[in-house]
Amino acid sequence: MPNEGYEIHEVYLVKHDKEIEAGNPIVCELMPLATYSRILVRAHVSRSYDARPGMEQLWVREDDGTLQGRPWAIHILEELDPDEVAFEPEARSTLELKS
Amino acid sequence: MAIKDMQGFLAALDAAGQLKVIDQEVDWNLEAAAVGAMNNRVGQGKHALLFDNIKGYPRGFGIATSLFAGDRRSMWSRFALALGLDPQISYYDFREEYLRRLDNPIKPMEIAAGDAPCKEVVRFGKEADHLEFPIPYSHACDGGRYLTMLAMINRDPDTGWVNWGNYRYMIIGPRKASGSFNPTQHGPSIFFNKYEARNHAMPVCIAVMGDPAIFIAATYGAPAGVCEADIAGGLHGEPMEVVKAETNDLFVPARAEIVLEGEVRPHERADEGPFGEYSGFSLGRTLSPVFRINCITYRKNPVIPLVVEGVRTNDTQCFQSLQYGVSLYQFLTKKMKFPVRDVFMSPELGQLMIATDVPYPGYVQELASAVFATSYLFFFNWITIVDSRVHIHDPRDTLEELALNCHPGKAIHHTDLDPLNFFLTFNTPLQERIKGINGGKVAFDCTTGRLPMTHLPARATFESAYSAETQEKVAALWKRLGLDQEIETKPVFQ
Repeated sequence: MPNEGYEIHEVYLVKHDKEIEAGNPIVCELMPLATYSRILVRAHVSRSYDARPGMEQLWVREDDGTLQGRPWAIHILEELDPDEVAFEPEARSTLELKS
Repeated sequence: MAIKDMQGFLAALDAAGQLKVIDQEVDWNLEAAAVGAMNNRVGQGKHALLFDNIKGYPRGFGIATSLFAGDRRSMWSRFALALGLDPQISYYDFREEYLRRLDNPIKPMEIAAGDAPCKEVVRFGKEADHLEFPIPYSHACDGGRYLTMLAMINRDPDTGWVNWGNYRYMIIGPRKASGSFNPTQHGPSIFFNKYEARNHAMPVCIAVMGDPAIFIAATYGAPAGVCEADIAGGLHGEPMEVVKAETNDLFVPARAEIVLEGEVRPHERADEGPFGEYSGFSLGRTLSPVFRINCITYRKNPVIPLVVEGVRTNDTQCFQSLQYGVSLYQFLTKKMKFPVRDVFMSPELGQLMIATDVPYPGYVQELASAVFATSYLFFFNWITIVDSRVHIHDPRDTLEELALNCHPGKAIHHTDLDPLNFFLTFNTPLQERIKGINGGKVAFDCTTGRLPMTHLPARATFESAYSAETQEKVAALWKRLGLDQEIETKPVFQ
């Protein structure tokens, strides 16, 4: 059965690693698993999900398509208008050229 | 009468006993695609599927899949049906007729907006919403919901050439999408080289299905400068009906299920993918240009065509097998005048086989070089070249030739210069494949033309070891002997 909650590309969690560790909110693009229509949000993210009120599951998708086995947690503070708040996608986190 | 749209195609499939209408509620979220995937695996091309009851959507908003997926022994059958031919037609008769129609394109004919079924419903601005339609989420590894059978229509601003190409399209939001933008393909190259290079937005329309000939034409591999709408007209022997878009100057198929109108802005990118591709692997996330949709028109009760990539034998694999085989055959025999009898690309993972006479020493290397000089080189890494008599549509026969006749030291011709297959060869990092570096191609020469005639022993196959009279007697006796399996004989090519 499909997961619940949201999905995020791993590269954005890497990008915001320091803010997440400090407990600060981040701006990120999420894919709600009910619609698969992306939203831009300001949210608190933490590494493990424990079903506290207000926390939802955040599934992490790696660049090669694999999904991490355990969800993170997300608490959405507000949804943002992508036409008003700039969001730049991140290129692939590594470019390994093996000789 | 020519099949002009999805409804006509579904009716023709139904009349031929090749359509299953599924009335039970099915979820667009993985479920419809999962059923389609299993149908591709075990269905042997017997049925296309129409899901008529999609969870969360009005009745009549449907999804159809396995439309062109076929059994290996008759992969061209649905194409034949779509083009008004007998689905029982032989491959070689189909190829001949298909090539004849390809050689006779017919320009489309404009009709009034009021007569265009694709404009039965019109939505502008914020009323236009991708999610009004049951666009499927197909694989658990995908980055979004995808349209997979469509024509992206865009125009070269300098020459006026209009390209219709099939490239996957991923929904990002109600009016935003991204997709496969491979710069080696015509439609995307127009954007990168003309519009974005000049910092201009590119008008674009996405036409979802409609006339199945559109999809056939859009995947044919027409040369640059040729409009696939003309090819689609030629395939039917009459002009395709088109109608002007609501918000730009492009013309769209009047009988499309859905038309998405908008633009692609320069230097704007979004996450696209991952997507489970036809190879059976996820292709990974990339940054791709963004479609911004400002108008959606559609016919009432639209049906979304779905290609479930990854599980053989699916529509894309059948398409590639048929299209590349026919196109390369046409190129090698008509343009290059090579004595090639047949070209076949296996539906599984893009292995190319060529059956040919060998008129002079060095011919096989020349033939392989010609093949790797075409744009098809992005879809396979190795080719197997066999004698003209070999039935290359049966992989067992080709493997036998590889085992018996390909000298491991003298008959394998390798080149380092060509880019690898973009979708395969996962032992090479994606970035290398994208950039076309560290590539290579190989040709296996399994022909016996190098050998003096005295080296060739007599063959002992059913067709060569028994006289025609004996073979006929066996065919007549078969059922009377109480043997249940269907008799199988192979065509004999001299």
